[in-house]
Amino acid sequence: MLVRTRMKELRARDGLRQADLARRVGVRRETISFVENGEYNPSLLLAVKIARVFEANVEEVFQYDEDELKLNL
Amino acid sequence: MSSGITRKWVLVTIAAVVLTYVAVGLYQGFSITASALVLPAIVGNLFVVAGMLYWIIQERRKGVPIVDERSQVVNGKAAMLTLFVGIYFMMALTFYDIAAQFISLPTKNAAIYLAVSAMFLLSFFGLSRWYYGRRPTR
Repeated sequence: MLVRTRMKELRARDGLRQADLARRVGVRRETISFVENGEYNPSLLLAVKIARVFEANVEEVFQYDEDELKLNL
Repeated sequence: MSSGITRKWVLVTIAAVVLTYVAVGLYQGFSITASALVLPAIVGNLFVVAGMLYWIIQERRKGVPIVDERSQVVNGKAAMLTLFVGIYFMMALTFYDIAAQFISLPTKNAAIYLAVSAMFLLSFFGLSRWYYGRRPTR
């Protein structure tokens, strides 16, 4: 299951290009593009770094369907 | 790394590879015709190597990582596929060699097999790396 992200929206809010975000979190621009399009799930470290750039929580930036998050009793 | 030093090392690398090929070719007793057929392949490989070196230098200058977490995943996938194809390739050559001892088959010396295998597997890795690099990574 691939994660949904609000990265595009948050980038637009902060006036950041993909290349700027990539440089700040230390990955290639293509990786940011794949994450934004839901074609690559970032590592926990990368997800936290991206969230920090937007001064947000990880869950505000990356979202799963509620069904996916159901816990076993 | 200054561009003068970089250019110098790229030229030295290319010259070393060409000289190695020529020395091995002469040692193996290649004819002029065979050498002429091999030359375009060598030049093509050299262009690829030079292009990659140039790309790496440019990316370093921009301060962009050459390999990041997604590249590592993609490299791993391409490497696994190349490993399986390589094993298949080696087994095919081994069976061919065994069969050649019982039936009359054209055979070449080991250096040719090694050179062809190395070039084939490197090209295969490059192609699979390119293929996986453009697909969603799950």
